[in-house]
Amino acid sequence: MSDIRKHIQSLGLLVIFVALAFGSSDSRTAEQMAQDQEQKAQRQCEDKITAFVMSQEFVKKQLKAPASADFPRFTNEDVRVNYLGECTHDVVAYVDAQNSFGAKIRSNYHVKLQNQRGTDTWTAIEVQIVGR
Amino acid sequence: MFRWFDAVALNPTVLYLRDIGSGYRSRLPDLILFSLPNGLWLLSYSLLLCFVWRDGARRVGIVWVCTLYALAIGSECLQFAGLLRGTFDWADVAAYTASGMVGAILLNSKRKLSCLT
Repeated sequence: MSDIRKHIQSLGLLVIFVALAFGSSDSRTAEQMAQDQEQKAQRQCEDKITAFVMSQEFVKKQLKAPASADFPRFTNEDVRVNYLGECTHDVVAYVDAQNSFGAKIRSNYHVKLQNQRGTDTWTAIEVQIVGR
Repeated sequence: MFRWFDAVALNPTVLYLRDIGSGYRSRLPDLILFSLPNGLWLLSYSLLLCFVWRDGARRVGIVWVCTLYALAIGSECLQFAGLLRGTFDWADVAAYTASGMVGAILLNSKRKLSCLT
């Protein structure tokens, strides 16, 4: 292949990649972006899976051996997450973890937690672990 | 959001895929979310150039890589100056630089395998 042809192909690639970059830029208006941001914050604050994952962090803090903790999957029938409104969730589930004697036992827990709207910050309002 | 995807009627698919990934979004660092795609964009261009220049003066290909690298860095500078929409980010500059360097190294390499040919 001649060098001229390679230069033409290279120029073609350059044009395509520049066009791709411009084409993938955000074409939304500031108002649309604010609206999307609001929708995103709402989705984030109502997200049950994140609430369940965050509840595990709060439960781990209260366990004798947090590293031994085994939590069920979100789809497990013993896991219940209720959205209470205002970014607040009620999580009821269980954890298998070692107690002070090293025996692995199952404890049921209930965590009420709240997401700080538009952020990744979660606050535990209430943490109850039964059967530790 | 993406004009090209919109133009080829792929936006619903893209939005669907983005929705699937939205659960992981909060757990990924900004570097992966925003800067890595920029780096991969330049790297894919470099790899294609590597293919084009596989049996010729491959160092000339480096000039072509540098051209897009300069345009990318230029766009970041314009964003910094507020002349172009977007947010200036040092991580983007780092991603472009790393990808440009990888592209240049591949083009400079004498091994044909380096260009995936």
